[in-house]
This record gives sequence, structure tokens and C-alpha cells, in this order.
Amino acid sequence: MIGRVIEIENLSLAQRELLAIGSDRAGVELMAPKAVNKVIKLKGIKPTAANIIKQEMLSFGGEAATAHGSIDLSVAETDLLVFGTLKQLDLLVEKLRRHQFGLPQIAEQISLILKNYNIIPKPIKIKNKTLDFGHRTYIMGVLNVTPDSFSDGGKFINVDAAVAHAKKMLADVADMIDVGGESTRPGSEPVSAEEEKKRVLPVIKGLAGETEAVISIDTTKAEVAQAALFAGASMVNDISGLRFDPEMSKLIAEQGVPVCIMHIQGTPKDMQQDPTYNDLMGEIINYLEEGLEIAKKAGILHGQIIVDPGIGFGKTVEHNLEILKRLKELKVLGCPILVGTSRKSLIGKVLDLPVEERIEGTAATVAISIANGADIVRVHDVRQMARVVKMTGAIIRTSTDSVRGRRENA
Amino acid sequence: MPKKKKVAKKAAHKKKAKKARKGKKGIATAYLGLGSNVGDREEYIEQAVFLLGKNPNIEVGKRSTNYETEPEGGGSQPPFINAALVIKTKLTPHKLLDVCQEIEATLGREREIEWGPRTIDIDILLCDGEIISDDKLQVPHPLMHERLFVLRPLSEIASHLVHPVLEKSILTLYDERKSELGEKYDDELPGFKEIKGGAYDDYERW
Repeated sequence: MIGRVIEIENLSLAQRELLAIGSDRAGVELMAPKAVNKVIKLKGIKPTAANIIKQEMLSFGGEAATAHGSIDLSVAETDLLVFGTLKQLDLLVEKLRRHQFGLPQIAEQISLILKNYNIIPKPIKIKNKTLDFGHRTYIMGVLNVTPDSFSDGGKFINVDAAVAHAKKMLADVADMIDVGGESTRPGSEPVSAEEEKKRVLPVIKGLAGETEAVISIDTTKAEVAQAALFAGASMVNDISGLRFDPEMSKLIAEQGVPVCIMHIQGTPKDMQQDPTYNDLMGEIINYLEEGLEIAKKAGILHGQIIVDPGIGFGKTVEHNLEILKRLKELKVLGCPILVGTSRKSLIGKVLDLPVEERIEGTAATVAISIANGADIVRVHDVRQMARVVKMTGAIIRTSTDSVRGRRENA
Repeated sequence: MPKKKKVAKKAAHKKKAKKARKGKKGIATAYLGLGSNVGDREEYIEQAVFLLGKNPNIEVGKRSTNYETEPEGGGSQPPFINAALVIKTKLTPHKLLDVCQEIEATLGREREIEWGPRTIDIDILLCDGEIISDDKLQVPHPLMHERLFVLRPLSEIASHLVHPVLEKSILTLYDERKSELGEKYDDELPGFKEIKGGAYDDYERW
């Protein structure tokens, strides 16, 4: 064999390979964008515009695929797959900017998509910590303060046991603790804000008093979030993506804290009743995009938002597996990505194992998530997953990728 | 007759609701700066927070990390521990000042030298959006925007809070002051040391 196929996923890898064979430095700049191929999916494009894009891409030696009826304008709209090198896509953007028929807007969209896909999200400051993404994956330890998790034998929460467990996770090097008082397991009944506060506040107070931990409050209710933020939490994790409580976005904007917005189909009570999707990743991204829009309207800065595809929230096992495989597509939103797979039923179903036997399965999902772009993983078994995170990081964050301050631009 | 009763009940409800709203309005959110540079400094900070929380009119909230800072005023003084704290209180700012001074007295601060060593120093930094300036009390604290040892802990718990006089957020004030002093990174501020209580302070970064 005199040759082999090499995988080049981004510009910096392309530059490295070009330099490795001794290409001229000026040539590297010119050639690198031609070594990276991307396929962009655009939705609901007018056939006139789609046809122009197709023609332009063909002229650059790329391609754009449309629905059958696009060419003779017999459909009202078409989805579009545009494929080409970064160089060709750049040329397309330049060309479309000078067109009509809404094409300049499409050009901006494509440009934004490519930019978001290639940048490392900006660091987020939480309390005394800075989450500096792209250099490592952060670990969020799960602390469910529900009567079935930390019972004192009756229906009250054993605060000391909960705080002790959180401290154990911190000692196992969790970067933050996610405290939640409402079970979001499939089929679970909602609890009142009063009850939720009764569960989480003593634990948050205890934890904030005894440790320097960054505490995130896992809730969909503004009232609970507000009390938790006062008591010691510094971030909000909202599984409804700012949907269930219209006051939530306002509160977060006011308090200026980071927020994680998640995708969910339905509510925890009914979400697993035959979840269906026409375009899984597209719908998840759309939903999160709407969440970003709600946030923006309320005055939350884009740089304070983390997104979560919501593994297990209104998804079948197949959906969940596909999301993990295609996680990178979420990068188009330009936000850090949080993934929570820990001990979830997709692992139980694939391995046919009960919840206390899902640690290896969780490890596999954590590793794949990180390889596919997760910036934060939400896990129960912090000690074990910290090792998985570190090991996976050592493999995927190669020296060229992790040069400090490097922000690739496509 | 029953109809009338219902109306009366409704009216009573309304009254109650109004009262509740008023009650809520009477609760202020205040931000305090804590400092100590004598003896077991961290313990004094703990004590101060504890005593504040014991006051029935005060609910203690989130607290920042403790920072060890070199004193600005007097050359040979030992370094301080500084922290910021948010509270909710029904007290007026002046009453709150009395409470703070009482706690300072209890913990043994002697107000002899203005810039001298102190077991505990409790400053009212901000109190909702209020602006107060008389011979007893000035809120916002007149020097807070110049002091990194105030701004840094405060930015941890209230980065978005707007300074009512300067009309800038705490984070902006902190960043501006930092760059005025020619500093770029949080973790390289001269005279600053983060005192970590958590168990993960020796976590290797990679």
C-alpha cells in the first residue's frame, strides 16, 4: 500500500496534515478549506431559491440536492442538502449575498451555521469558577432530593445524607452539583412549588454553607429557582427549556445566571407515550432554537445558555441512540452542550439491566457524548465517570485542538 | 343572603392579597461585604453570618468564596479575608446598619483606627436600588467600585446587579477596575488568594 484514507474533520486538522507533507505555508492557507467537506441541510426553501443554490454549487464543483418537484416549481417548498468543501461553501455565501429572492438571508444563515459549527463556545462564569469549554469536559453531579432518594424513613428528606452525598461527589471531582426536588422520571407526577422548595432549599443552604460547590437548581418553576438562587444556587437547569413557567426566562435574565435549556417532547408525565419525530435532530434543534429565542426576548445573553438534547425525555431507545450518534449537529446553536444519559432506561433496554447495573453502559454513552461534542456531562457515578471523562478527553483533545485561545473560523 | 356572604368573602380575600403584596414589598435585598484580618479570620466571617442569620428580621442567602487579600490602607497589617453575602431583610438600611455594628461589637471590633486591623467588618454595599447618603450611612458603599476585594466576591453572587449610581453591572465594574489596574486574569490578581473549602481544590486541570 502506498496510501491510506485520512479523516479530516476540521480546518486545524487539515492545516496539520498539509504542514506534515511540507506544503508551502501560503498554500496551506489556501488549500486547507478545500480539505474539509460539510453537508448542510436547509429546511423549507422556496424552489426558485433552491434552484439557484443548486446551480451555483454545481458551478463551484459542489452539489445541492432538492426535492423532485423543485426543478419545475411544482412544490411550494423543498428541503435542501448542500454539499461541498468549506471553500465552496464560502464561495456560495459570497455569491448568494449579491442575489435576490431571500438568498442574502440564506447566505447569512449558512455563514452562521458554519461559524457556530466550528467555534468553541465562550467560557461561562459561574460563581468562582470559569467553565472554559473546549479544553475539557465538565462534570455535573446529580443530586435528586426526592423522598425516594434521600428519605429519613418517612416522607421527609434527610438533609444531612443529601449534603454528605453531594460532598462525596465533590470529592470525586464533580465540577458542579445539580439539585432537583421534582422527579422527572417518565410517568412521574408533578409536585407543588411549595413541596419542591421544602425539599431542595435546606440541602442547597447546607451545601452552600459547607462547600464552595457550584450549585445548579434543576427545576421548571421560577418560584423554586428564585428561592434556590437566593439560598446558594448559581445556575438554573430547566428541563422544559423555559416553556413550563413563563416567569422563568424573566427571572434568569434578572439574576444574570447561566441556564441550561433542554428539549422535551410532552411533559414528564406523558412524554414516553409513543414519542414520534419526522426529523429527530431537526426538531430538537428547532425546539432549542425557539428556547434561545424566548431567552433572548427576556434579555438572557446567548453566552449564558447551555443546551441539552434531553436524552430520555419523550424519546424511544432508537431516538436516544441516534441523538448520541449525531450529537455534533447541536453545535449549530453555538452553545455548550450538556448531555445526561446516566443510568437512563436506554442503557437498561440495550443491556437488559436494572438501574444499579448501568455504570458501564453509562460510561459508553459518556465517552461517545464527549467524542461527539459534549461540554458537560450530568452523571450520578462521579468517581467512575471522571475517569471516563479524563480518558476520553485525552484521546479527543489532541494538542492541535486544544491550543489555548484557538478559535477556528470557517 | 348567600350571595352577599360570597361577596364579603371575596373582599376579604382581596384585602389579604393586598396586604401580602405590601408585606413582600417591605422586604429588601441587601448585599453585604465582610472582612476580617485578626485572629481566626474565617471563623469570624462564619460567626458574623451566623449572627446575621439569627436576627429574626434577616434571612441569610448566598455567600461568595472567601478571598485572602493584602490590605490596601496600612503597610504592616496582616492580610484580610473578604467575602460578600446577600440577605433579605425587613429592616430599613439604618436599622440594618445598627444590627451590623452590634455584631461587629459582639465579635470585638474596636473602632479605633479607621483603617486599622479588625476582627470583623460588615459593610452594607447595596440595598435594592436605594441611594442613601447621610452622616451615618452611605449606600451604595462609596468605595465599593474601586475595591477589587469587594467587587470580586460580589460579582460571584450578583454579577448582573446594577450599581444605582454608576448604572453599571457589578461584573462590568469589576472588569473595568481590573483593567484599570492593568490586570487581565481573575486568578492572577496581586494580593488575591482564593481560600477554598471544597475538596476539589487540587483537581488537576487537563
